[in-house]
Amino acid sequence: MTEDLAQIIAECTEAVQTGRLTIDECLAKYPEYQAELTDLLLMVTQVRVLPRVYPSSEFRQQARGRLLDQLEAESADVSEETAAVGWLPLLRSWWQQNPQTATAGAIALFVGLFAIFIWQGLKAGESEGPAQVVAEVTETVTMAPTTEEEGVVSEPEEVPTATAVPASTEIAAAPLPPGYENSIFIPMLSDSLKLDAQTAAVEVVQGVVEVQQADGQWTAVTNIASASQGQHIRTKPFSSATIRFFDGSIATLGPDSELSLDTVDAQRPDNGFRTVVMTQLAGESDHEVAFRNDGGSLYEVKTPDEGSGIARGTKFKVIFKPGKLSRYIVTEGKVDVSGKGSTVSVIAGQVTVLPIGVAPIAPVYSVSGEGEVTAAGATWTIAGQTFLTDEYTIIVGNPQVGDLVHVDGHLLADGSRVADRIVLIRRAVVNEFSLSGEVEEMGAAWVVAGQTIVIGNQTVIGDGIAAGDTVRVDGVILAEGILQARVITQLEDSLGLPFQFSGLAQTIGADSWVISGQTISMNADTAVDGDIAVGDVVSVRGWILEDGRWLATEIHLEEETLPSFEFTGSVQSMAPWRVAGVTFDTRPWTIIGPQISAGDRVHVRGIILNDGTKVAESITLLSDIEPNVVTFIGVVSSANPWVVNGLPLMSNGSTVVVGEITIGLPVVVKAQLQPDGSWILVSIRPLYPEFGLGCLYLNTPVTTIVNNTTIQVRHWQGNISLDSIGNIGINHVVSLPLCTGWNGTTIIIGSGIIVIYQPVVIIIDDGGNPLPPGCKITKKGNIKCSKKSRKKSS
Amino acid sequence: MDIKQQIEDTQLLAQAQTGNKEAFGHLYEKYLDDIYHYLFYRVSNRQDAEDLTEKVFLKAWRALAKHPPQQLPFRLWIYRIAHNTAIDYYRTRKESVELEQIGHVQSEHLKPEQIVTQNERNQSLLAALKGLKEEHQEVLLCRFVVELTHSETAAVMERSEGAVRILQYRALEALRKILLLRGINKND
Repeated sequence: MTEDLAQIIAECTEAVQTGRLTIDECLAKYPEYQAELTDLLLMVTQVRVLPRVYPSSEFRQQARGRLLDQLEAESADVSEETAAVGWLPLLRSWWQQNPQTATAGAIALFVGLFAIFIWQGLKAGESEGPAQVVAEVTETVTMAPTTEEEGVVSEPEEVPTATAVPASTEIAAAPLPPGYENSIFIPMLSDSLKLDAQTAAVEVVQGVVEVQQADGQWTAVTNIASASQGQHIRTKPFSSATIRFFDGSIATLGPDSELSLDTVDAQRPDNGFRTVVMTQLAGESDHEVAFRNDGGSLYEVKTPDEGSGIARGTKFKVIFKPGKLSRYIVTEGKVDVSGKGSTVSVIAGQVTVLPIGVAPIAPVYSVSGEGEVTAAGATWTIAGQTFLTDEYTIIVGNPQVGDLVHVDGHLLADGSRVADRIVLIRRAVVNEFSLSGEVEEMGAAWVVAGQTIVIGNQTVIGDGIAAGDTVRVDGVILAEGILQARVITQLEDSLGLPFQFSGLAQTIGADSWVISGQTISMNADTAVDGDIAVGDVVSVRGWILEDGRWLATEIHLEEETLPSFEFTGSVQSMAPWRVAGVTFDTRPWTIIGPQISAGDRVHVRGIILNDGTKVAESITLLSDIEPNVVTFIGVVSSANPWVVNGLPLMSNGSTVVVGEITIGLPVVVKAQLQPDGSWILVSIRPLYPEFGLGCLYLNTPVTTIVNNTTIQVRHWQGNISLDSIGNIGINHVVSLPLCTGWNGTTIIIGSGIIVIYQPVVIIIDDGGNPLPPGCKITKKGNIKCSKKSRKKSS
Repeated sequence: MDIKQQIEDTQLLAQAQTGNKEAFGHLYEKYLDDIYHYLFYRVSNRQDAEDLTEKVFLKAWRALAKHPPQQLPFRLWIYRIAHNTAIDYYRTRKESVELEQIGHVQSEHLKPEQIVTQNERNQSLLAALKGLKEEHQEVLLCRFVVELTHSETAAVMERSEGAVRILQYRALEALRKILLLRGINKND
């Protein structure tokens, strides 16, 4: 019997997994074993719903670096020709040895190029969130001896642990094979770039990146180029670049930004001090500075208004708004920021501002996050929390009430928040619908699948559509249920799957363009609007053909504040998301249809942020698009009978209601249009059930340890519960995730609290003498030691 | 896994075997999450899962030259390395490891209190799984967490398919007994 049951269980579990049978069908097939089968299959169900776990992004980045180091080290025995990092020697050798598989290999390499782009994009495209843990908690940390140098405030340095060291430092520190000492591993299809301490590697992450030559001419970077002292680097809209220095430090230049390399002498620890000085002339940049504690190394980012930030082993961001201000935001370690003869130390979790002509303002703790705007004006309400504004607040994209925004700000002593920057992410969800059907009438209003569709001034109608054609209509639902078309696309005789997106024109050719990394083919029918030049933001629409080419039907200059994209294709991966070769991010507010898996055909709509990142607003199965079925987003005004956006919806025995639907809740509705014009409710579910109004991350120091599971912090009233405080201590800076639901209730996600900064603690030895021999405490509170004692300590 | 994915893996593997680290890097990126997911449930804590995940890929790189996968798809071959790495981990590890929280349930279909209940149930289930014999844990993880077929599980565990079926049944029976002993109501 055991064997029989084992075989039946095996058959049933595999049948259920492949969708061949349901559990009930299996039980019905073997009624004599129903009791045992029920128990065991229930067990299987429980195990199958264990959540998916992913490695942390910190591990992902650092492990990749360690693996590469290890692979490099283990390749040192290989001959010099094959040990070179370049692709070409290996490929040539492989090609010669495998002529018959050469073609297949070329295809694999092409696929590999896309994956390389994604691999690089993983580093640049990670979504914002709280900073990573700076250091593993230690009970005590030995004070490292320091020197006091004129003009530069030296503070006691934290002794870093493995987790505090940026990944780039680990790559630089690994021993390199012979002949390789001045090379940097860049996984691109080219020979390795020979670097030295005076040369930096400029790499295109996305879009258009240019380097200014000695004669003043700007040259576009193709993948990677070198840059040295005196050169400028700039990015266009929707573009970004990384600048890697020989010592392992990395600067990432954001969109519409420009840096000048003033001094580049990025010596590695064994070869001397590192001196890297640059000036942020416009836009923003992020910096990961390789840790050095040698008393002489310098990594400085200046701004034209005499601002300056000096770092020793940190991650920080610099924003410069010409004529307005500079801002330094620190996420790891510490940066000394100077201006107008005054210097402040900014630690992880803090931000300082230098208004033009003014010394840096005392550092304050920062707050950031994403959420819906429920009030705008002098005071904003974002993600359920109020933000004041001041003359330095920058607002991008003209967000309105109902829109989703990203906010960066700082905290005042009384816990109130001031917005430094508010950036539009997506417009308010409007009453959008999609439906497919036959065109019955055309004119000022069309009739499609028996439904009257109003044509507006902005309606885009595909070419050559005639009565009798099958079309897809995307639009908005106006008051009283009037359907207005935004786009009408012909579905019959289509060339492939439709797409549309906005992006940066990177290359313009006769037969093909590259727009934000996507190659777009052209033919004689492609309509190109006006004078488009490289660097312009354009909107392109067309078909993804059977052979995978993206054929444009029209390209025109983009005028939208928030460019968008929309296309259909097969899901290639879901972590990260990649559909039809396009990689994009998702957010907690992204609507992802249920039961989507790799290989499914989906429809993706989304927005393009100003750094070029694509973020999906919705990902839905193509099979959801059925004739006479409308999917729209709206607000519930009545639950029984159902009314959404003023539209009465009739429910029947098949209506699926997911979750708890209340009056005023934004919902996603699927409804079927009847010949008499009425709507049958197919399904209704909450729009963002978990995201709610949004989440913010407060960076704030711990003020009280109440007990093993409870703390208090400076900028939040009341106790905060954790599973365990671990080694969190007083004055440790923590990042608190704060989320607000649709009902306005705000909760702190205790499990998401992380430490981002720990102050250094002095060891008192048994003799009661806190200082090593030869050391003394200066007036500024630093420890100064003689050279002899410094040698001993290190 | 579809044919296209298998072909892509085969081609990347061929390149990696010639010493092409880049090709190996693509395979690493492709399977990192899956291997971590599997190892997390084998060892029940993130730190060890991370350490073992790194080891698995390093072992894979080293094995490419000496013991390359012959007829096994790369995906199953790397799972087999992960399986053996986990066995070594348990052989050398003496003390028990505290179960780590496996994070919040994400579901748009559940109310908050239901989410809390589901989280608690998941933790209890995880504790029960850890109470099983190693080979019972292994077969349930391969079959129902990683979602390998019987033949794939057999390839990873280096057993016959028939043996896997019997093992699976016994593992489910053992799990059921543990859950009954712990008083977990199947009707919750």
